[in-house]
Amino acid sequence: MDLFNVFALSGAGMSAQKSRMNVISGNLVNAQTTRTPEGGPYQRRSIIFRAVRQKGKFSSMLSADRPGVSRRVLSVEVAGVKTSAQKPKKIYDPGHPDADEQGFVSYPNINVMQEMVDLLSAVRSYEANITVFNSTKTLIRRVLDLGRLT
Amino acid sequence: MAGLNLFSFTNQLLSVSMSLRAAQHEILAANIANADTPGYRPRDMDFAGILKTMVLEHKEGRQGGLLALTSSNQFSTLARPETRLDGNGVDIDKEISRMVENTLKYEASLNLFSRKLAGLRYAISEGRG
Repeated sequence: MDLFNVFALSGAGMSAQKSRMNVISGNLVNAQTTRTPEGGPYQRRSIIFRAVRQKGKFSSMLSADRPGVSRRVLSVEVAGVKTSAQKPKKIYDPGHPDADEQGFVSYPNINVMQEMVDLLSAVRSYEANITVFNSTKTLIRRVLDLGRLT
Repeated sequence: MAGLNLFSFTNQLLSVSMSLRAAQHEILAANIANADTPGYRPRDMDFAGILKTMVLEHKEGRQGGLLALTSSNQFSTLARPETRLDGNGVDIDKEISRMVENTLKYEASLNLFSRKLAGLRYAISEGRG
């Protein structure tokens, strides 16, 4: 039945948004980090989403004669995490242990407001996927009620 | 009475309409899951058009009745244009409201079908159950 596939779709959506939230919190946590294992200040990370065709599933083998909608709708997955190549912000602070010869400290080029807005958007998308999940559950339960004898 | 026939046209129509609504549900779910995917264009299904085509084909006498038509499932989806800079065209509020509407209509078909089955059951149990 088409509806069961929706759980996989919403699950993929929730998972992708969760990864996005992880990346955003990594940025927020490191907004002032001047030192990293790779040397230099923290570079902003951003997530890349990709729409993918869903892999073959058990139910699609049962209904081989009706490829139908499930092959046509695209699911989502995380293609990767991109590290920004932007130049860091330079703040004049000669007393800082990480200051260079001219007394400038390199801070990550992270705009906290932008990250917060991004976070809100991710949360909203996550909640939308939860709504989809719940309505699918309701629909399937109603259909099962149809078959009840009492 | 035609309505008590399990394979009457009305029952088939309700059943097909539920299948189509389930497909629509899936399409909307995919749109919502891809709300932030760059370059993703949301898909749409012309529900009324597809149902009408199926009914007309049935009336033209294609074998197997209306139910057979859903197994070929060759309807197409239309892509909406992108509206954001990252190439994504999904408006999440619209998608959610479409989904709620679709769910309500699905439940309406389900209720009607359920009542028909109840009528059949009543007839089978000779008015006792």
